[in-house]
Amino acid sequence: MRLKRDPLAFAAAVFGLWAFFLVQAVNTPVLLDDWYQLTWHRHHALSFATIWEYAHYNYFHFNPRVGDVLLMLMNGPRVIHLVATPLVQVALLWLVFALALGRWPRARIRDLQLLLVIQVAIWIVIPIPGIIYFYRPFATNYLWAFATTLALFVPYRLELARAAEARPRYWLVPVMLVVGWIAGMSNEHTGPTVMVAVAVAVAVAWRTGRFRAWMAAGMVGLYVGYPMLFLAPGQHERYAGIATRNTPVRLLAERGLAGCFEIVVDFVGESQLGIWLAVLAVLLYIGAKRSRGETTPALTRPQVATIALLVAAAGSIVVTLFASPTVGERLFFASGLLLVAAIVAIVDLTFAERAARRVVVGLCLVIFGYHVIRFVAVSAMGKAENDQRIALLRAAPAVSVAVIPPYKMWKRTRWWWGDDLRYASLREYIANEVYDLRGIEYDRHIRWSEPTPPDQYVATRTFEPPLPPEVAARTVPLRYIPTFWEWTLVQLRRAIVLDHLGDVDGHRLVRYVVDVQGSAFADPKHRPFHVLDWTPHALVFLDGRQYDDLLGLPYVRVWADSVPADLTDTYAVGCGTTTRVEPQPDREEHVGPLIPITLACRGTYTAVMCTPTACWLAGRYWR
Amino acid sequence: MSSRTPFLRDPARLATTALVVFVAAMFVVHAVCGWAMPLFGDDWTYRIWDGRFGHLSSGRWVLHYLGDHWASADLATDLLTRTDWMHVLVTPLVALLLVAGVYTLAFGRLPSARSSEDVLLFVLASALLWIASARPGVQWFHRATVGTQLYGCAFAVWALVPWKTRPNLRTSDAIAVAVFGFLAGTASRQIGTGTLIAALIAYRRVPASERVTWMRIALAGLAIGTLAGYLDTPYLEVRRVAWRGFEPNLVTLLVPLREHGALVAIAGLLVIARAIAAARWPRTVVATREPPESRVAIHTGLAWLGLAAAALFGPRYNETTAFPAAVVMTIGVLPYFAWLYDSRVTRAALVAIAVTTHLVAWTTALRMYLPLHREYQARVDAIAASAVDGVATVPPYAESMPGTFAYGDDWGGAWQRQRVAMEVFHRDDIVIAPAFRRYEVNPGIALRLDTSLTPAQLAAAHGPALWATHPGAAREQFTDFIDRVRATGARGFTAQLVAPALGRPELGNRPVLVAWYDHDTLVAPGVNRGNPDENNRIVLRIAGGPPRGFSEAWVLHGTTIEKVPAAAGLRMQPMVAEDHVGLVCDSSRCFVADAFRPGL
Repeated sequence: MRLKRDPLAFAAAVFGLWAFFLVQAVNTPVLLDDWYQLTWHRHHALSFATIWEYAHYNYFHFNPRVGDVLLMLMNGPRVIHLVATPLVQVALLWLVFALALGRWPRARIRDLQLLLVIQVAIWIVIPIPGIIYFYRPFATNYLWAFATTLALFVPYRLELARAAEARPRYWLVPVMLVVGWIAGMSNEHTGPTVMVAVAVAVAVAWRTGRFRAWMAAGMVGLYVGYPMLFLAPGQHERYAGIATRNTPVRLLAERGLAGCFEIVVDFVGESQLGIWLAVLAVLLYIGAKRSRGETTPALTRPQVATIALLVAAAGSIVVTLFASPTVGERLFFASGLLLVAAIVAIVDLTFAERAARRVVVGLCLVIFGYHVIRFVAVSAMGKAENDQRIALLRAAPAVSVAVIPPYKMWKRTRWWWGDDLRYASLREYIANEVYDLRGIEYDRHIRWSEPTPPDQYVATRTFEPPLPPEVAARTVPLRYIPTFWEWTLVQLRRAIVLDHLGDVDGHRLVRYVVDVQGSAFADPKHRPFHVLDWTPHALVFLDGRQYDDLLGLPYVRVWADSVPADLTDTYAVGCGTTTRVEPQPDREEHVGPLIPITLACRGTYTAVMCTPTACWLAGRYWR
Repeated sequence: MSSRTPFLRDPARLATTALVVFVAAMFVVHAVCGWAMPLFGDDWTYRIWDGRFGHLSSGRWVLHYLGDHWASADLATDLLTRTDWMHVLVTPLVALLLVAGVYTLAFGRLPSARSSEDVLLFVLASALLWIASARPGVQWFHRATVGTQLYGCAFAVWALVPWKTRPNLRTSDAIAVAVFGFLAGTASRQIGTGTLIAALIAYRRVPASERVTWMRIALAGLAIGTLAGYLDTPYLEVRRVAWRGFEPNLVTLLVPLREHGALVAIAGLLVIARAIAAARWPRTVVATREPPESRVAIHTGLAWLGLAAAALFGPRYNETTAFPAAVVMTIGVLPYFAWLYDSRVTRAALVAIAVTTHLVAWTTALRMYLPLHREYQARVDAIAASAVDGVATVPPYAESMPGTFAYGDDWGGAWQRQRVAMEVFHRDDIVIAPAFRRYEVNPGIALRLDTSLTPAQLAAAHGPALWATHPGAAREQFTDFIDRVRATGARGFTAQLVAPALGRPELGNRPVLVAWYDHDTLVAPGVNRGNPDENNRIVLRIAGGPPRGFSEAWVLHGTTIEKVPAAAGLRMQPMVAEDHVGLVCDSSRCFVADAFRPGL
């Protein structure tokens, strides 16, 4: 009787989970990176051609990951997100289950309990579940991406766990080739581990006589995709080529042993609750055995191998982060999932004892319930505030400065991203690109929000053969020049690649100079004040960023290789005054000269470096 | 010819030698680090005490001293800050005692110096305590933390050891156990309560026929100490924990979970390694023992959770208050490490963990504290070289921010810095140059004492020659002064600390006061300055609310003065780096709540 009820209960539970994910998808707000996709959709209809155009541009000039293309799709017609995202989120459970136990879940209560453990373990192991699951840019770049990677690996796992040899399944060859390529194009930090894991799986299959053509296809796809991602031209242009500065070797040297150890400690710290769940299950299992006078059976070799390999793979991805410019949080998602698979492999064994099963399932039900309630409540509140903000922006008169209240949930938590308009560059982008406004400002002073820069940028184009200035200005009109040089460059690249500004009826763009206008900088020598100077063969700008030294004192730190050789004087501009300052050496990290900032008021400070003929924006600092 | 086994082939002699070397090394490293560790933070409170009560006659001084230092944490910290030798000689012994106590509670016996397994586990106990400490350097060497946590935990484990080993104790021994219990009980409410509950559970588990006198004496000592701890101020912060809310409390608990969970993660990894070894190289695993009792581990886990949660109730909560929970976690996991000893692979890993942890921790501590000692000495020398009653200028510490081993620069706050300058070094103030981010400039408000006291009465009460220029420090100084005046028997006098430079036309003719004494009533309330909120608003809250009738609030900065709402604290939004003064006024006078220059 009970067995008959199991499939019903199983189906009902899975439907409930899908419904929860659907509600969350409905309540997904437009946040941070989502806004950039809106601009695309504003100017492009969705078709295979435009998807290709987007992917092509991204690969060569921006974020080459496949997740960014998925993000564009998820921000397209709403139905795509509502249909696809909940399915992927549910499918992730199946994939982790298969990875951990070498089989698909069956429609029975025991497997449902294990799926519950997987879902709960994922939420308690990964650092920011609310953001990874329900913030589209992270969901597509990490959750979708690693789900694809697992989808690539699971067939190998199932094949190797199978008692009897399977049929060749040639239809899998093209599928695995594509999935392998997508997995390779997913994430820089997961690729190496996945490549090794797939190679090991193929080698084992070869040795045991189970090798199939689809295995080679998946491997080929992966081995083509990952180098394509790692060496993508966009990596060099993204964020003005910061990736080329932060080379893996440099990052390893900067972090040192202590920094690398800290990453491991961070991951272990984040995973604690999941580890404790497994330990509790094991203790209850052993305790139950003991209470009956039974000895604890030893693990079989396949069980040990599964658990050890999953833990080793998780550790390997964490180790890859040693050479990554960013660490923690979202980058722990993949290793977290592998650890969850190891935890489930352990918990599955302990579920042979009723005591362990009851306590662990009971605990998981409570944690699951708490998470669902919090996720739904937070997303609903966030969505309402987001809708209200969008309505305000839509209602604002064109070319005006829209005034908005901050989100009540402005802080970043494990449930919610927080208020994304804290970034002045994003406010500027949304105002100009999405709503044709002049700017967006909060209705009050906010400590956590970057003030809008006090100056404006103007661009001067030079064509060869020359175009009359009025024609040059009219060609590919830009309604504003972003006042953050990274975005000024992005705008220029898009104009060249997508709008063909580089070649206007035979007139080639040979120079693009961006200057500061309306700055409080009072140059005693009245020199031109440049931000960047672009030619097809060179880009000149000063790469300076906000920096606090070990004493916590404020500076703008300029990368040494971008400092002009004929530097004559340096200034700090803030609170309406210009002060000549002396750059100081960077004794801590040897990146480049430090321009000291004296904080006299809250607001934006600008660092300026001058040569005999021109001054250059060296960076900004805000407080 | 000797028939003795060669040294390297004699495991017992090797084990003894290893133990001796470890104990000696630990003693030396802890002694050196203890010597090198400067006075920091709360340490100064104990030295300021001397400045406040140094004028008393010896009899009254002793009475005051015992009244203020009856709790073990206060007494230990005072002795540690008073004399270097105590921290150099006694603290390392206490640390060793703690490790030995942890071992004994984990296994129910002392380690045998002739057993390599026991020696390894003893060294591991120390290593695990290092690993589980969120801020190990501060935990082991900062005097105020050591006095409360390290000494308190050592007292607690040794108060509990007899309950584990159940020896036949004489009455005199029982009294010693009771004294340990009292000392543990008065170390902190968290340690006292945890120890008392553990002892009560142990007592309940003893069959009624086996309950003997020492148990009751030991329980009494522990209960008295714990109860006394609850009666001492500041009281439990139940309201603060309740107001914080469910989730913020959970987030706070993540600190011990992360730090102590590392021990569980290491044990888990080693268990997997043991399973691999057993499957792949079965001959390397002896497998002589069953894993430890799950029940004990679960109970230890619950005790850990209770202690970690108890830390939330304060009065202070920081990483170091999780140390008692770290001790319990170490006691809980140590038997699992003993179980892992039966595999060659995991045994090698245990040795590696024990050795590497100490090498890294000790070298890091020595590399941090020896230069820090020189920096501290440079500060003290600079102060000594400055004029008495003048302002001393000292350099900042190289590590101004708190870290795993670094305490951070404790003289960032203007209030405490000036108190230390005046009471400990007899200087008007201390200035740190170059400044660091969290450095707060003294607002430098010149104060004048207006009083009806005669010069003779002032002299008898040791009236200060100099008044602090920070209102908070000046109020404390004034409170001490009034106490001393009253101690001379004077009554019916008036005294007020006036800030003439803060007078403004907008305030009318009302005097601006930092504190006053009138009609036998002292008005010098403490003021809490909150951290800036998301709108950079700072709220000044006067302890117990503003004095009666003070319903008008003003904020002064630069040449500006503005009236602000006074309800629910005095609110201001400092946007410029200039001195800000918060005032509350009634019809006849204004009270300086606080003055500061915001660090933007």
